[in-house]
Amino acid sequence: MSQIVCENLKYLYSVGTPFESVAIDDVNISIEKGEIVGVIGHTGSGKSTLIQHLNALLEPYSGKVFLNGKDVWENKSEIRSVRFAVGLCFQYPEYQIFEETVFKEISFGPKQMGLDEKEIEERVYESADFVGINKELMNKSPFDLSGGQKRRVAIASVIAMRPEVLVLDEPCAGLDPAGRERILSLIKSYQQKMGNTVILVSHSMEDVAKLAQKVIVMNKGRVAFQSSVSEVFSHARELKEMGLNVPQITEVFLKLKKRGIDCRTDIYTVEDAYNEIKRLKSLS
Amino acid sequence: MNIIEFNNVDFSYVSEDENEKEIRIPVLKNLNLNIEKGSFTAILGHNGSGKSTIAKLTNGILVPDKGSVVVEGMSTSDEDKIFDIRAKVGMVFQNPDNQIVSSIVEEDVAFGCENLGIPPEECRKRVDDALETVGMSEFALKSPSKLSGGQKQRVAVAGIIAMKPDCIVLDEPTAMLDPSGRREVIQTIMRLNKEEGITIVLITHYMDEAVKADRVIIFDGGEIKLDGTPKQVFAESDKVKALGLDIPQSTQLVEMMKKDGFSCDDVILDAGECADYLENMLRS
Amino acid sequence: MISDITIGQYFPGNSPIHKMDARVKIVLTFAVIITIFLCRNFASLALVTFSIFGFVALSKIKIKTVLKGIKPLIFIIAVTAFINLFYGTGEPVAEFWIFKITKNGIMNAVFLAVRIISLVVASSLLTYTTTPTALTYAIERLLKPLTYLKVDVHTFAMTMTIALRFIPTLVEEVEKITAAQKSRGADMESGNLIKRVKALVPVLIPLFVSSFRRANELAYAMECRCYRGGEGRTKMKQLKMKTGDYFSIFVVVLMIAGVILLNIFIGKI
Repeated sequence: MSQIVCENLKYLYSVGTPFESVAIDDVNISIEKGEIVGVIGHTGSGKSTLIQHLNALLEPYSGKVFLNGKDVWENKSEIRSVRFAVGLCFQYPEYQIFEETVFKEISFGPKQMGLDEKEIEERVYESADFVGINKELMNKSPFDLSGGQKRRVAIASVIAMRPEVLVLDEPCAGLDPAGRERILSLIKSYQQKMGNTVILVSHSMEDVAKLAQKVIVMNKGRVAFQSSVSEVFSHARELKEMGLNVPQITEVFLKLKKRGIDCRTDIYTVEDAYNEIKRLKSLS
Repeated sequence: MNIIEFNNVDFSYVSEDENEKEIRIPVLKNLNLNIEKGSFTAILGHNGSGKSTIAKLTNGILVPDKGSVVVEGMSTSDEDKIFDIRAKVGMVFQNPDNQIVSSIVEEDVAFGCENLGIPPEECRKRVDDALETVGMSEFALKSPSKLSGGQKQRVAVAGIIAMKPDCIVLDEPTAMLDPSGRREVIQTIMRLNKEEGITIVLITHYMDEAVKADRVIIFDGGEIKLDGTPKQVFAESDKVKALGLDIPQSTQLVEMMKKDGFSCDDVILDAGECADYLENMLRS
Repeated sequence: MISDITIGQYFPGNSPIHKMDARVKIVLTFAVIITIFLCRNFASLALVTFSIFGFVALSKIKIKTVLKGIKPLIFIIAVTAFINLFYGTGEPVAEFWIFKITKNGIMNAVFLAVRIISLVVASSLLTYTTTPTALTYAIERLLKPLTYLKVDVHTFAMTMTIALRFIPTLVEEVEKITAAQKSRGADMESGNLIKRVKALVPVLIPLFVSSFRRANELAYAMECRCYRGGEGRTKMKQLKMKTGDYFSIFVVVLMIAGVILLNIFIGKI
């Protein structure tokens, strides 16, 4: 059984006003437990609307969202339990940081769950440890942290709810390469350690290629592709038309193939590329 | 001829330590830097390397503690000249939302012109031309809040070029944009440089943007670490990496192959060059 | 939702009303509003209401949209009319306990309801057909004489422009922050008043912090674009009165004259 299933999902903005417009339509996706799934699409493609359905922030206009086989909107009074099960962390930490100390900030989620103090403390330290926030920072104001640290605190505050599914919206946007690398590696180690499902929303194909096994591409409110990373990146031309990029190195091999060189095109990292070139050279 | 000259510039921020005593945090130390008229310079560096400070020093938003910043013969420390300098050196910031003043695109573009006291008819003409140059004419009467990030950033650029500056400094203008938005903005500023002869200083941490410049400067700890054409700078890939920055994937691949004994006399910067090189190598 | 409120919104268009000089529109709107209060009987009120809807028709804005603007106010209109129902004089039509409804009371209630609706329609027509920037600029020009009294009219107008510019941005931001906090389990829909007000804290603090940062960055950006107050500043868009403006002034003057005459000849309801 798939962990998350969306069936014929449709959502409209500003229903009943002159500004009514379709945000997403005819969206059918399924996500298995323990997968890392990349969701890509340019701004306005409907990817943000889609992920806000996964944790029941938005109620579908029509269609259904299932979590572990249960319709999330079946019992509206339990809607918060869906948000604890599917932890969604937004792009800019500035949109959520408000507490006096880092400790309080991370404990916000667990507190809302009604846990006892000991449990909260345990979870806060555990998730701070996951994202590499030192104990010394715990009593500092979260507003005094650097951009990268703020983002890690925001992620910790969601992880502290111990969600079954972690959804990260553009976790690396605006960070410098070192900060980006750090966030990506912590996502990977979190997933490996916990075995939880991770959904990574991004417009960086490089980042998605590094982590995800499966990719969902959104375009104009619909699912354009939903497949393995290699399958999706083989559509380089279509992706470009959708305002997206494939990793530069993938583009190199797609060009080589076009010029009649019999090479693999599922190359996303420099290491892959290096090995492929060595293989080709040994053949000739 | 130089349009901007940094002569032995020292700069430090004033902050408070834990005992609320005033302390100075040095950012730049004895910096000498000249920007040639008509050039396209990219300034790279990880967060906190001092690169944003450079931007603010170029038009007198900040003034040096020691040494001088001279724009077309005028010192930024000379308060009588400050508005003349700002009319010569326009600035575009990271967050497009926080630099748009008016709720109508064309009125926002006119803002700088109006501040300079340009007569209404001349203003009108400059605004129309500026919108044309950035390809936003059809949005002249729209509200900025309805535009995409890339479009907003182009409006911001139009607002600057309507003031007819000789130089535009862009402080991470693409950090908050998606790939298509980034493309729009970079293409626009490259056109301004090539066709209108406007000097461009682009502060960024995206390597694929930096390689399009004539000159790349890498900052770290308030000092220039590398300075040269993109090929010269990226030839020192180990050094660039050590400074916490990325190398384009194509460059990385060729560097790896060089270490393995393959020969390549050129520095490869983009996918096209890389494919050419690999094709040649594989066919020989 | 906040975004569903249409009062104060601008609907782009190319009608004669859209093209009018914003200064004229403001002055005429005030004139019409005052006239609404001058009306003493149904005949004069009908004249004003009729004129207002004439302007609405000219503006090519759908009546449906205009009536939608009244929707949020229906409750207030109903309550005011209802209270007025019991304040009539003369023969009671219906009576219970200490309340009595008279014919005069019913008339008063209807009169008041029509009056409020006309008032809302007249003022929303102004904002529906005038861009916020044109409005502020017109206000700046109309208030210009105050400069001699050392009132900083330019700063006031610039503040208004920026406030209007940032309303959609802040609305969007509130939605984003709310979504982020709800994702962390914040409960904003249940509980008593105190609990709900408390639940706003996680939304308000990030909003304030971000607004201050925005203000700071905007100030930088404005300085970089050579902003130094109103002195020596020009304006790209000049306001000019055209035929349509003179015609509208003529119509409104005629309407006021009509109202005065009807007031004199028919008297109070």
